[in-house]
Amino acid sequence: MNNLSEVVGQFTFCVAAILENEEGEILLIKRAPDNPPVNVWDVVGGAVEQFEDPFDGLTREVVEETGITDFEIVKALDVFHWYQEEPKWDMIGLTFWCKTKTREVVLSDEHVEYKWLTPTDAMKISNHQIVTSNLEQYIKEKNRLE
Amino acid sequence: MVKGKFMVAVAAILENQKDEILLIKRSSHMEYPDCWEDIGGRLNPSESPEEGLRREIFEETGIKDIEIVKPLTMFHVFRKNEEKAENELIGISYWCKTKTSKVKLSDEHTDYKWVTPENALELTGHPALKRYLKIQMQEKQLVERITFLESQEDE
Repeated sequence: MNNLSEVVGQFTFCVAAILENEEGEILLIKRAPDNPPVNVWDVVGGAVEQFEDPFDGLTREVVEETGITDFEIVKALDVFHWYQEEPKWDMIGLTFWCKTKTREVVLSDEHVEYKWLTPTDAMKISNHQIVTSNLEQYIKEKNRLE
Repeated sequence: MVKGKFMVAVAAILENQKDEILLIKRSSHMEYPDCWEDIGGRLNPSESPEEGLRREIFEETGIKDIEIVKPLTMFHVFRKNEEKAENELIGISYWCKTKTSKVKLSDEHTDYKWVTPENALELTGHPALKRYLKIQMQEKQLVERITFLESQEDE
């Protein structure tokens, strides 16, 4: 083996937030018909840019997708790995539990609708396995704290 | 929006049954020679973080029985201290548990120690490792408090 870096993977890295408001509701946003995976009720988040600190990436994505600027991280919840046959599509992500005092949401054109939901209702509406897994971890952590 | 491409690393705060944390010492011919660090390394193409974590723990310590408790936080570094896209790495650190205390090092490391989290904080000069050791300590206190409350309820 002459060059070890040849066997190291190159990944897209995503950061996501389960945003919780003061009433204990969490935010799901619905992806636009031209924003695959389409019509998915998603948590807030997206890909980290080159040379961007991933925590700054999380802040940027929350602001871009919701207009919310006042939020704080409670803790890391869930790691996800999305592997779509070709290594070049490899994606790894980390979802955080975050709290905000803001209820008003300003969507970008990547999303068409938003809902503040109880964790149980969020589980019912979820139509994507990564979001469902994120919500399960959130509920597990939340139950441990109460 | 431009998606970045990154190397992804996984790291383990590995805890034994005495609540001690494993630190391993880098060999003197490596980058960051003789530093005490946690266990971890970079993922291979298409490898999942949990597979990579188990592989790295086995390669660096010989330990196979691993319980992955939860992710703790993420970290961001440039390898070789050069801010180039090809050196950019994002990592996820995890809290893991094992029942094994016996360690078999690879040739990348020269020494190991099971230490209390407080001692680990003193031994390492690594700011990122200090940050996730502190998160692990908070998470652990929380779990202990909840286990205590549950045991009170059972009585």
